[in-house]
Amino acid sequence: MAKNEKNQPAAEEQVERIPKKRSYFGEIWHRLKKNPVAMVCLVFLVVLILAVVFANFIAPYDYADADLSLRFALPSAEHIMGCDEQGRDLFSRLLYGGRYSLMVALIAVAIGIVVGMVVGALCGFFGGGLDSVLMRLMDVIMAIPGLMLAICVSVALGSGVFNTALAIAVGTIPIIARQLRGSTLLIRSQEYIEAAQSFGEGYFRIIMRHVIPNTLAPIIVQASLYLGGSIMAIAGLSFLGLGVQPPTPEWGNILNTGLDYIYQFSTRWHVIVFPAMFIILTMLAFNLLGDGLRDAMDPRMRK
Amino acid sequence: MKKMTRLMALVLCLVLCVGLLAGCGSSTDDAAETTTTETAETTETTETAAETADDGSTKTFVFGTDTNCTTFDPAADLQNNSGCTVAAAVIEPLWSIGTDGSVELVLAESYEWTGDLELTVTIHSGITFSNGNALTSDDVLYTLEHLRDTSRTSSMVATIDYDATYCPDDYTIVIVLTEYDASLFDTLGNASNGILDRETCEADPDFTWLIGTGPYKLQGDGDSDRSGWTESVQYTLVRNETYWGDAPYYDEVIVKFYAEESTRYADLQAGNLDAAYLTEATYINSVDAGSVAGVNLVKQAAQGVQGLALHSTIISSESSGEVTTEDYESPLTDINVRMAVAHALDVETIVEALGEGTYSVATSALGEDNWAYADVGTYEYDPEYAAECLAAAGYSVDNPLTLTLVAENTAFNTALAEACQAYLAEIGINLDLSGMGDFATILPNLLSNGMDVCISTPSNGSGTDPASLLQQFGPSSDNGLMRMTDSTLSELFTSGSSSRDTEARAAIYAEFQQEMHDQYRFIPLYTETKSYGVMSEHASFADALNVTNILDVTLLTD
Amino acid sequence: MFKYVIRRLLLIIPVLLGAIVVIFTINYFSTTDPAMIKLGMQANDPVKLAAMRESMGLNRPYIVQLGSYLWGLLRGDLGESYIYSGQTVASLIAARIPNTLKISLGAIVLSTILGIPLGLAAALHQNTPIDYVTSVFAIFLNAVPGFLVGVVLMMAFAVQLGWFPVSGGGSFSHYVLPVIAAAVGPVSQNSRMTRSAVLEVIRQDYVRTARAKGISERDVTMKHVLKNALIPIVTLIGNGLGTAMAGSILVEMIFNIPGMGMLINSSISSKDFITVQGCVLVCAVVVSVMNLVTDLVYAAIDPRIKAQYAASGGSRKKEKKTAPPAAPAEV
Repeated sequence: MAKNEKNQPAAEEQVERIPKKRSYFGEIWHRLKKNPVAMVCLVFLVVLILAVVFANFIAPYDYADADLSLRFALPSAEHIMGCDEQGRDLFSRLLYGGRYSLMVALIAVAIGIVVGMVVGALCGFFGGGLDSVLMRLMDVIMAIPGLMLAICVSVALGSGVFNTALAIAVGTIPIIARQLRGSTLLIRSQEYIEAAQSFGEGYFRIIMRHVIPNTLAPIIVQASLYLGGSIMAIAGLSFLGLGVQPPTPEWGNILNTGLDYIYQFSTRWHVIVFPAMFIILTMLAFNLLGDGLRDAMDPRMRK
Repeated sequence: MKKMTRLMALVLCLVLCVGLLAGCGSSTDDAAETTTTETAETTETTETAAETADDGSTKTFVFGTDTNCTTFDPAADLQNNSGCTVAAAVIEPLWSIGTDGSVELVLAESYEWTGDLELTVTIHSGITFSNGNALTSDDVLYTLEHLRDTSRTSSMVATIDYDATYCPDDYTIVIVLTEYDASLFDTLGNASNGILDRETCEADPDFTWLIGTGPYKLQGDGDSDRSGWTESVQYTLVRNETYWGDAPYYDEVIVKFYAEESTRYADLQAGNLDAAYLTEATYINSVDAGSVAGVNLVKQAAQGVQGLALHSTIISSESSGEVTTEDYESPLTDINVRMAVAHALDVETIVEALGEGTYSVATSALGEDNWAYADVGTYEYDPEYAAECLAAAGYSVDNPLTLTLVAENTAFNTALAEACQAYLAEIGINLDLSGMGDFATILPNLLSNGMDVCISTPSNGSGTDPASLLQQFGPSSDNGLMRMTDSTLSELFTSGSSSRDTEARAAIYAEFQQEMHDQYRFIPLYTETKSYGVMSEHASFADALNVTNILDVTLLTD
Repeated sequence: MFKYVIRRLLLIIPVLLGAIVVIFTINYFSTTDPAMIKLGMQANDPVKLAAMRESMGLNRPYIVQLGSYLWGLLRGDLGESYIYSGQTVASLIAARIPNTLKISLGAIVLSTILGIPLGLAAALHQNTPIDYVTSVFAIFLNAVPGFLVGVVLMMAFAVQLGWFPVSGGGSFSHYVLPVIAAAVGPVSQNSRMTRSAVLEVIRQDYVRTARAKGISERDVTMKHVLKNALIPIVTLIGNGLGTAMAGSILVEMIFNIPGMGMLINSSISSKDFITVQGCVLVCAVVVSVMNLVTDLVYAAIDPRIKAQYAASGGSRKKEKKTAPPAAPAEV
């Protein structure tokens, strides 16, 4: 996408982006704006996140308000997505549920990225023994399949916002760390780093000022993809009974409960269709936005 | 280098091919082979199961149930559906209790009260276990001792004086009691309290296999051939060729486990099961409505009750090694809190809505089909009064009280718990459901966290005598799930089980149920009626023989 | 090359050891006492509890417990289940792992034979309707939870149409639906990865040169593009086993297939930690071995690695090895 654009060659850009890095992101934003699919996804996600954050103002009912006489009520003017098996407003539950799903996913990805970046930058920058030790540790974590590790952590430490997020985050650390290590190695060999070092800038400062900003872009792409993946992982954990405690809603949980009633799909379709819709649309949006960002950041895709 | 490349390419191809083959289920891998053939056989039998033909081919009964057992110890785990089936088919009790409470002799030839507290039982001679060992009175003694030593059941036979009980000869046992126990016959008549072979059990203290005198035995010998039990998959029971009684009707009984009820129901619908245990109202209703062709609904009589037990005892701190359970005094010790809980719940609406009409509201701690049942009524739904009661205990919506609930996490229990949670939240009680889990985890949860409310049945799962059905309210309960020792209730319970007159007992239990109600110890929710979807040809057998429990189908004879 | 193989083989040992230590440590800090779980209803007797803790060796220090677990592993002993009385974790897993491997390897095969052509078609027809349709299809597959796909497949093809059995394992037809359900995610990843890998190669100079030389489009695709694009795809396929095994866990539950997933699930709900631990460990071993095989294949077909070893006489600076591209989104 974003085809007909005139841009400077990548090398020139790299030299230029150090003093005014905002223009680099400005450039990406400019390109992203020309991608209608990515923009739709971005708008959708922003709206969703706002709706979820301000769920207490937007949601017409409390997520725990039950009225058994409204059990499985079909969508109507009062309950736009109908009611669930306890007679709770499904729309409100999905909004509040998004709060949990998205929050855990955000925390997980944030932990994964921050720790991964620190580890990767340290390895790439200092190399040597520290590098070998940390990278072997990353190999170890990579050897355990992500969902398995999450199961292990949740079973042993119990499930909660932080534990679940941590469980999911651990699996993403090595991938980010490896990626950042590679980029750091590349940047470290650049002349301007040597220059900075000769000016007496400390390692920490160099990492913060030069390494991290220069590797942030691909990490953002990764983040948008991982957010989607984390939402899926949370839903999977819920399916295994390692999710949140009721009555707290969570998308995977709501969908899983709904699937119990699949034999009455003709009269109770809404308890399956709406949660599935929320999960699928959010996943689609994160994936498409990630693709859009990647296209916008890839200089070769501009042709 | 080129060679290496080819080699590597070959390795990759090989890996993929193995994958493909494995995917096709024709792997020649050793481990894969055994499982494949094993399950393949079952599948075949499963597919033909529905046509239990008269042409002399193998007559198989396939029963789908919820969970599998983790041990064959009849006193420990053979209490769930799959376990009961196995117990009923493989081991036999001394006698069984008819629907009217009468004693029907099985292994016992006769019994006689030879003293005030002395019961002499004579067993049939010449009966052998399926492994060839002869059944002797010593095996009966072993079974009693085993019941005593297993914590879950020890209180059931707490009245037996083991020092005085003896076996005068190989076929006679004299059971001496410390005090009269009206539920003794009921307890010993329960299918899961069947007689075990001392020699086998002592050699296998973990109960990894089960040997009995019953009409069926587990396929295999339990030693090298253990094909009768595939963990998490199924039991395969075959005719016990040396059975002393009439040969059973079916050649083979297969009990299959399904973690997800929807899958179990799907297999019933597809005709792969002859009977399936159903718990969720939606499935029960659709079978009842006849929407599954050829499948009828069979319901067990309502004897027990599921309800909310409100705990009121203090769990004392017990220290052992590094484990220390903390002192925990439940807020429910205050009757005002118990009243608040009872009146805040609209039990009728909850049970009717969630049960979709398949479960009936319980009006006592005993099921309405039980002879000692007394209608003491439900608690009136009155949230304002409930809030007042809670205020008297010092809590309100602004100053909420948190209660921990412990229950097995079945779908229906979870729905019930969530509904209760919503009702209680309105008056200012937060119900914490984090203690819900698999049955095995309930006690560790209780010991480590303390708990207040429990969805459970007061029954010990052993029979239909009120003393068994209310056992967990009794003074000797060491189960810990109900955790309530109320001196009045204890006295009533004791006098109820030590009385020899049925009418007097009924009166005592009526008083017991009333006291229970007045003291807000237990909020009855629904009467426990187990439901089974059964293929019509088998259901007709069940009807003809007045078998209310589908599990007894295994006992049918020609 | 030989040295590389040896190096990779030796490297897997500390990695697996580390994985074992990590998993063991997580479980060591579990909030519930294993002795209580093992005793079940008898756990309220403090004497029995203390005896059980003693006999299970729970009073020993962490390092001793870890040591004895590792010693057990060396002899193929994964410990004894807390819940299944008298059953070893190893025997529980051995009985179930064939089903899980069948499903996950099946899913890998399916995702390879579906994903690569889809991605190739999309890349060769970049920015045409074919590209859009396949890309949207791939992204959509990635967005649907596997357990939802499983339930829908079962309802449609097993319950309604009756084409496949509802549950259980055994014959080929039993595995069709589960494999499809488990392959949904990997198909999507493979096709997207293939698409970007092929696009990457198409832009390379040698492809342009080949085209300029007038080689037929088909030959360009098969000989130059696909051959070079396959390198990162091989890695992805190999590394996909972990994802596929995780997918199998959820799918087994739905189709009631007695595999590791069912075992993990029942062990989770009964807090049979040691069995969960054993299952995770076995998965880690299987995944590591598969990654090793992938890396070796990768080394064999990637001319760059070959060249490195050929040039430097077999030794190589470890600095250069940032591991084969594991991150699919790197391109």
